[in-house]
Amino acid sequence: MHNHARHKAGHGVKLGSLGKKARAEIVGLDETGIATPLQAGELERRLIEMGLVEGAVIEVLHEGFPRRDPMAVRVSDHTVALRRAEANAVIVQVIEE
Amino acid sequence: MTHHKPPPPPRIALVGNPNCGKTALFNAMTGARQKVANYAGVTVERKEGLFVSPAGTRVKVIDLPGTYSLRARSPDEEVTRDVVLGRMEDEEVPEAIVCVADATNLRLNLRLVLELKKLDRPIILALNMMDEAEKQGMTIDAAELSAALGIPVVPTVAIQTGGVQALLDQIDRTIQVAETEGFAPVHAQCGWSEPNAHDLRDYHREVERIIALSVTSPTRPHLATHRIDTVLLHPAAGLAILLTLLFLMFQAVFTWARLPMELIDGGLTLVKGLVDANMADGPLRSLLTDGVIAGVGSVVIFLPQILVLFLFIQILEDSGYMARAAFLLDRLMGGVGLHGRAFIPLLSSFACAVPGIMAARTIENRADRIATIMIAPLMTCSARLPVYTLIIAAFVPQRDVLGGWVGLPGLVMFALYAAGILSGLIVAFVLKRTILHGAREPLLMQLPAYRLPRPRNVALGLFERAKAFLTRAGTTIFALMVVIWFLASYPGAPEGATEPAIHYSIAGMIGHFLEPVLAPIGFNWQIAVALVPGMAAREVAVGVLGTIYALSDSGDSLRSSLGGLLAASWSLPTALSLLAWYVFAPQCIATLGVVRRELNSLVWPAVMFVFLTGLAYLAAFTTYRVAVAVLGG
Amino acid sequence: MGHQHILTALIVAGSAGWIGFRVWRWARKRRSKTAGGCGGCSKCGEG
Ligand SMILES: Nc1nc2c(ncn2[C@@H]2O[C@H](COP(=O)(O)OP(=O)(O)O)[C@@H](O)[C@H]2O)c(=O)[nH]1
Ligand SMILES: [Mg+2]
Repeated sequence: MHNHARHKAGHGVKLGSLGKKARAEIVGLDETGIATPLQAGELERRLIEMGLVEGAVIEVLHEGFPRRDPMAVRVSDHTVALRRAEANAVIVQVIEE
Repeated sequence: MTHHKPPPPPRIALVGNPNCGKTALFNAMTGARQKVANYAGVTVERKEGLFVSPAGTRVKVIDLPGTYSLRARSPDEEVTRDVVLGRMEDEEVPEAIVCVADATNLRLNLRLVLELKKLDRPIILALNMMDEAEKQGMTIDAAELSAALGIPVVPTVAIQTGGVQALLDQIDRTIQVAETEGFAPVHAQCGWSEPNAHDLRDYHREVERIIALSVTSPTRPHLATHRIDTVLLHPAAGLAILLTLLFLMFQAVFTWARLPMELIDGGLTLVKGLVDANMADGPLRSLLTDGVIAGVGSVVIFLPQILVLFLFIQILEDSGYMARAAFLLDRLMGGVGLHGRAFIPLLSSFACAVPGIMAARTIENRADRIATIMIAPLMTCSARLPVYTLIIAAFVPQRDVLGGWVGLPGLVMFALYAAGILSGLIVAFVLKRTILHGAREPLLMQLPAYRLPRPRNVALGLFERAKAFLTRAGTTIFALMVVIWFLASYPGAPEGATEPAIHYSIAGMIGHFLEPVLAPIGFNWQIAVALVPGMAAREVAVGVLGTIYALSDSGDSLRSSLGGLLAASWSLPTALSLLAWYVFAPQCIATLGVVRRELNSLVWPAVMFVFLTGLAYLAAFTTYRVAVAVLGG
Repeated sequence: MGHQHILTALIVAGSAGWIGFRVWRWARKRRSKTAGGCGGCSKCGEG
């Protein structure tokens, strides 16, 4: 059930740390250490259901206020808004232009 | 196809992601007028409708709240899960499922299709919004898609006439197949179980494979949405625009509605003059002029303002801006512990708290949801608009401030709304710090593409509003006003009475009985009388004042407008105090009822009633005392 | 004069009866615990 440790994530960064206009590929999901009221494994499932899954290419489109939170992320052909706290469960590899 | 005893019509459930056009399809199929809007969480309960298929079969359609998965995260998604799995009380599994997908945004929808296939029910995939897909230059090979998924796929455009024909035809075929094969046993153990992360990834890979086979990506992607959002979601400009929009809304409520309101007022005065001139003095004439025209009329006059308010809300909803507002406010609302998604129920509450409280179903965490529900009534609902405008018109001079482009009445109105919002945030803050603490559930929300509001949809929404308002004025409010008139007219004045007859009437007695409780906050007995039926429907309070003051009037005055009468007989502190009272206004009964039902508890409505009444009394008391001290009684 | 009184009495009684009927229907709906259906704010005309 937990195959999120595809260790490309070794040199991955957290989605929550990306700034505007950054493009990246998702390399893993890891919800350990994220404070949520959800059951274990639930955040991961929700992220997948919103298309945030390994292999998806994302782009940070917009940032909220204050503290640039939440963030709006384009995932393939739709846009998802999420908070940086939860975005930290998404491990990505930045695509350099 | 007339059988002697027709079997119950087959039932079809519409399932799909939020905002993919399920309700629009439902309306197109059944001719119903359920509310559609461009954001997730508009439909929060099950709606049924009937239609006759092209082949003449009667079919029942069920419109359901949108969901990304059958796992059901929030109460509205539970409705969908329970209907689809046949877990609803006294309800069988639907005979077939129409899975609705937004063609421009297939991935998440197809994942749900794969999950639904596990149910072993006949499924049809409706590729909705094909017009949008074509506009963006996407090509979708329906045959390929159908082969890959193993279910029939039909393109639809829910908002065009004839746009659902293919779906209706397919429904006929599916029903026929099901009939010849015999409907699957209704209580068949279905193959669905909660997918885990591993299953979800498998579904996802399968979807990617299918999409690669059958869908080409857009050649002209919708860039406008991104460009608009660069401004509207800008951290500083975006918030400023949101505030300006809300402010303009309240300004418009005054300025745009002024002319039609004057026309209605003129019409009422005219009718009253006609009745006075043509009828002998007597109870019936008094009933007509003092009860019906002064009472119902003083409510009806607010129709234009309510329509302006709804025009704004409708346009915001249709365009797709609501989800952006939630995005902009998430962090700020988070400061008081509320979920960004709470914005949508709270904004609906400006129309009426009842649908607002129901919309809170989209919030999954119970503590978050209760906090949202408890403050929903603090968002000034449209039924309070008449009370506000009546008093503002009577006591606030029509003067321009801020260099002449902002009217003082609009500013006061904005302040009243702001007071409601602010106290709502404070209450939420206190609740979340004390009895309802807990971490916030994640915000994971799709931002829909912007769409131009369709004039037809807007006009229809307004028409439905106007109809509902006038029906209500003609029925409930009319009946209440007749009864109030009776209570305010009988028994008549005794011999040698010094005061107007109403003083000695039943209503007068009730008012005088309540007066001591309300005197400390500056309310006279007339207001006391108006507050009681105001519990049934707040705008009735205005009607009651209309009747009472019409009956108290010595008769020789020519003042026809209620505002003028109030300006002459209330002190400014009393007026301000009543405004403060209505910011909190202990809820109408319908609201308390819906809170009880939504939370399935008697405690919360009781808490709500007590704390709102307490706040209202406190606010009115403070306002009155301060105003008296500053202005003199 | 008599006509006016009778007519007035009829309208008042009718209105009171109608309100009573609405309250009764509302209470019954509330008790029957149907899934869905709105709480009866009647802003949407469905009260
Ligand atoms: N262009 C286009 N817009 C549509 C179509 N179907 C629905 N819409 C719009 O999409 C939005 C969402 O529709 P709605 O029925 O409320 O979606 P639901 O959440 O699935 O019930 C509304 O603004 C509709 O007017 C369609 O076929 N084409
Ligand atoms: Mg809907």
